[in-house]
Amino acid sequence: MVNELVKSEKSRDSLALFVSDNVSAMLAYWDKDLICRFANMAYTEWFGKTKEEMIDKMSIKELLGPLYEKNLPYILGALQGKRQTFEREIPIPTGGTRYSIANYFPDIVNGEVRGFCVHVADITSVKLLEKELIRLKAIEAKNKELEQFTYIASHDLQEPLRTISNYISIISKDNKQEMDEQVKKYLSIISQKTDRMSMLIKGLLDYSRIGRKSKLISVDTKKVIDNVISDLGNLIKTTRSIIHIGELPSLYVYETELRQVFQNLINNAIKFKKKNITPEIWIQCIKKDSEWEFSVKDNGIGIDPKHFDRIFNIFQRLNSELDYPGYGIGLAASKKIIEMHGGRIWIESNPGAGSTFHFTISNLKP
Amino acid sequence: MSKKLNSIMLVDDNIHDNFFHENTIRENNSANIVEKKESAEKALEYIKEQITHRNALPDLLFLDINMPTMTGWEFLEEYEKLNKEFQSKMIIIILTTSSNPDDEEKARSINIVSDFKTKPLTKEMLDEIIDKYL
Repeated sequence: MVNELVKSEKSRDSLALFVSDNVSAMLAYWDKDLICRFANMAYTEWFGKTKEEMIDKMSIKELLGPLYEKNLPYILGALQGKRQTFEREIPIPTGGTRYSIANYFPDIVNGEVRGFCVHVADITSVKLLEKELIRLKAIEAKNKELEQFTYIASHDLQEPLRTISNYISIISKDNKQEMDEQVKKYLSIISQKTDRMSMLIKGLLDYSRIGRKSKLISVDTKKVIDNVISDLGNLIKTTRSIIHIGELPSLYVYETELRQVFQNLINNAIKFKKKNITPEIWIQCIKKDSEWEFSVKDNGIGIDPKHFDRIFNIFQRLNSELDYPGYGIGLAASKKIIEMHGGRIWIESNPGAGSTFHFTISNLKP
Repeated sequence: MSKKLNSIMLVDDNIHDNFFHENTIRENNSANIVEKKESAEKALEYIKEQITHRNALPDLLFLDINMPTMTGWEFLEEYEKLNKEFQSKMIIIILTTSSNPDDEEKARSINIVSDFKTKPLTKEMLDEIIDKYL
């Protein structure tokens, strides 16, 4: 059934005109003598002309100006009956660049080319994304390189270290009788420190490898925490720590890595406890916009706000090794993991007032 | 303490590691002979010679991965090409500095490798391996 609107040919034409003037792509028709026979609004506006100036009057050479020479091969190609496609980068007077893709469709009737239709689409957003993608690929390659470097460095550093500790152990064994207490003590310190360095190097390697080969899966975060608590069973028991867990969501996460975060935070909360006070930990989660914000709060020794930035750096420690043994890797690793989840991690604390670690996680979809 | 083997071979370009590991094997009284080879090529040559002369291969071989010219992986490829009849008789353990999970995964995917261990070799490790595989 034919609608009232398109009953006559005339109204069909005006309908086509209305449509073509309301598309963002530039449309035009050039005849075989290269005179403009049609141009839509986007086309005339781009060139700063009116339809009256252009249609049935303007030649393509006149319109394009210096661009004519550049486009000539495509124009000739179209006039030979072959479809043309090419991309252009056009500087915008107000700054930036417009990227466009042009198509010339030849109009062939009875084997003869009567002209061609031009379609120019703005692909600036696509191009910018493409550039961003290339940049990300480069970063990815750099990261791989860095990881490889860390791996090789840690491997090569590990080797001489092991030789030192091997010979120390041989010396200690073979000369047990002859050595006085002083020498034994020195050897034992060398041995402890080489072991520590070895652990630090291993930590660095593990840190550099966080997130490799891991996949996002939907997990109940409560279960993740339950597993951590069961892993830390002995520590929790001997310190008589009390852990309160609020409502927790199921989310798409990197499970092993997230588990490591909770392990680090709970472990720290117990490790940095106040003397003679039972450690108490509160774990909660609230939804904020599109993110989930977790918090792990303790009643421990707390941290001076001036150190807040430092604590998330690798190998940074605020306490003596004697009082609080550790390698300074846990929080740095946690930060890297949270950032992998598109989130942030931060702390609220004051000396003596306990600490609350907050972190956000976007519910990432694989 | 586990049983005493006839021969254990150490393949490692690091002579200090070979020395220390031999020391551990001797102290633990785990083998009559300790064959130390500083390269995978020399180890392969030794194995081929043993096969030609119909002599017994070592019972146990500790293989390093990162060695110049021929790596542990390449050694394994060459070794696999040898007469299959001998292969089942020698237990191969990778013993390396690397705790790289990629290396471990690769080692575990190779049939003729029985285990993956991180240096240094200790007496406990030796006992465990001998009890488990020999």
